[in-house]
Amino acid sequence: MRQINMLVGSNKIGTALTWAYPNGQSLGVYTIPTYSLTVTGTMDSGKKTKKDFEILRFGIQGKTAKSARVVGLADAQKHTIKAWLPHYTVHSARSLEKGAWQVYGNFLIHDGPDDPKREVYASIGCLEICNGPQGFDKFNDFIVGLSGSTQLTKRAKLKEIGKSRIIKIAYKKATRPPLGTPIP
Amino acid sequence: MDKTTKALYFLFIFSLSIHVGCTNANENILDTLQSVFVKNIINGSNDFDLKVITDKADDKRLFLKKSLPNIYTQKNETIAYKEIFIRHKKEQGFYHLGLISLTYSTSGKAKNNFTEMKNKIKSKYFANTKILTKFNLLLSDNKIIILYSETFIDKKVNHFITSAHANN
Repeated sequence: MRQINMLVGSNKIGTALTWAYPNGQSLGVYTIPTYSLTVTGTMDSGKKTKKDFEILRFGIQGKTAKSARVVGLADAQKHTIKAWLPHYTVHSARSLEKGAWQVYGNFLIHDGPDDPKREVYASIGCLEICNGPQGFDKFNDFIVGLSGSTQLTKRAKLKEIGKSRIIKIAYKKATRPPLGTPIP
Repeated sequence: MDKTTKALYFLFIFSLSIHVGCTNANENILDTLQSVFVKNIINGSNDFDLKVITDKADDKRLFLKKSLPNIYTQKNETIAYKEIFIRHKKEQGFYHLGLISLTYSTSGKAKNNFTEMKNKIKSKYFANTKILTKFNLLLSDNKIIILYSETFIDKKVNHFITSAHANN
């Protein structure tokens, strides 16, 4: 199998709506910057390739309904993706863009808003893939294409990639954005 | 509210009113709501794709226990649901509506459970979801309908969810 590299960017490339997870629904809807996640690797043909995805890197935490703060991994750091978690889902419809990559602990890479201005996703440190429609599925298809997995199904390929620890991820140092004023 | 929205709103109310008064137990209120929602969003255009998920393996009771933890209590209801997605063929994003019906043996039981649930509601959003999801409850004969959306930021979707109050 072939190594895949991911680089989490430090510059704002857009904005997304978010809210203070998990108990700050009543605080309103906030706006938070989006960043790039660049995935690089080699195709079966031997051609080196890369693709940029828009992500939520920082989010807002509201442990209670009274206060909120910006959270997320700001320091420069490197990790190896630990596993593919096939059953993880953020949607009410369980079959939609399922699964997550485990960076470490509860820090995951999973589905994010197809349209960051129409869906209000929360993040407290997970990287959430936008690029709709089906942005997270496209992200996973790209990873599968770079991996060299010989498994027969996409499900088996994702599992194999997770187990084989071929994905390296680096975070550029970034400044946490200000909290901003929520829209009630 | 512009003229088109107003007309669709009245169509929504009218459709539900018909259903609430209907004695045909086979008529499916989820189909009616889907139909009105789709009309409301698409508005006669051919530029949209419709996807409806009704996975029988996905028992929504677990979802309701997690999302309405102090509101929904499992009783002897039967449950049905639809997850409706309308996607513009050329633009980013989509419109979402979730519908769950809880059907009780009598309209009296439905009404009692509806009142009990309504009295426990402290937030207009589901709990324990990463996507902020607005919901509302509707009573129709022996059914409680839970309407919810992950795309309620859209004015038309939000209006559809919140206007269900008019029929309670």
